[in-house]
Amino acid sequence: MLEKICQNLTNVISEVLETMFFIFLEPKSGALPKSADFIGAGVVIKGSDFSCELEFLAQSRLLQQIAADFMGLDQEVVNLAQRQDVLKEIGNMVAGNLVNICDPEVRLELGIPTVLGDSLTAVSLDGCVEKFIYASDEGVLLVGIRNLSGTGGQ
Amino acid sequence: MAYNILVVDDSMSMRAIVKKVITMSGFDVGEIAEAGNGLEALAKLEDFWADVILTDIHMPEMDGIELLKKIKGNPMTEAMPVVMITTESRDEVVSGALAMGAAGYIKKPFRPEDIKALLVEILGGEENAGEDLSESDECDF
Repeated sequence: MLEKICQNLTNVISEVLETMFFIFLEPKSGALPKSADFIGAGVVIKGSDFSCELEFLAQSRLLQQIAADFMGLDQEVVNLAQRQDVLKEIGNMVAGNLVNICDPEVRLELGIPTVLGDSLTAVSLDGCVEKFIYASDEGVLLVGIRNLSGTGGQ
Repeated sequence: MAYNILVVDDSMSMRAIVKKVITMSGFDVGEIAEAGNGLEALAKLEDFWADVILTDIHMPEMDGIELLKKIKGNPMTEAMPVVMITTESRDEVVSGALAMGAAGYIKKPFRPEDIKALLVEILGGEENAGEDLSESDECDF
């Protein structure tokens, strides 16, 4: 299951971000960028044989632009809660569409998206078994998969 | 005739974009009410007639499937069309919602014209709607 999720992740992220947010992200390789400017959200995917959390870290300025466009606001007035809400919704759509592709038999259950960390704690993908980097002119989105099943996702 | 619409989603940004699409769809819209989950939606429906309810499925407190059951199980609300707007598109879940009485289904991510097309189907045809959203520069999210 973990392998299936990884195989489909990039296509699903592109579909969600392009269709709904008009953001075009490109996969990148290399070291994860370090920044205090990241906001995090996670969605747990739970099943009897496999469970994981998809973790999304996005640069605040990327979310600021998406939220402003999406909600019809000026960028200057977009607050932290609105940026977090947009990232949670991105996570929800990505996780939901991944589950649709990887689990047509409905063995996996999708959790409610949550905010990772808080404004005082830097979020990171430490401990995630898979990590992906996506970049656009507007900023960077990092995606990590944290294995919660303890079975290696088989 | 002005149509009242209830948008149910735990995401404020999603509620905002759905409201924006409805407003721009050209329908004669009365009030667009919002709720953050199924429980809030049921409370709202105690004193609000909705010509259409657009609801997410995955929500805290009460999800969209449970909300659909409650609406269809109540003689006061059973006639209200309920449209599911959700990431969930697995056959079992979609067919289950339709069997329970959902009037339609829109998968996230969606395009503005997807919502307009379903509203046309439910609210009575193109003559009640306005411009073609797919050709409008202003309908971008």
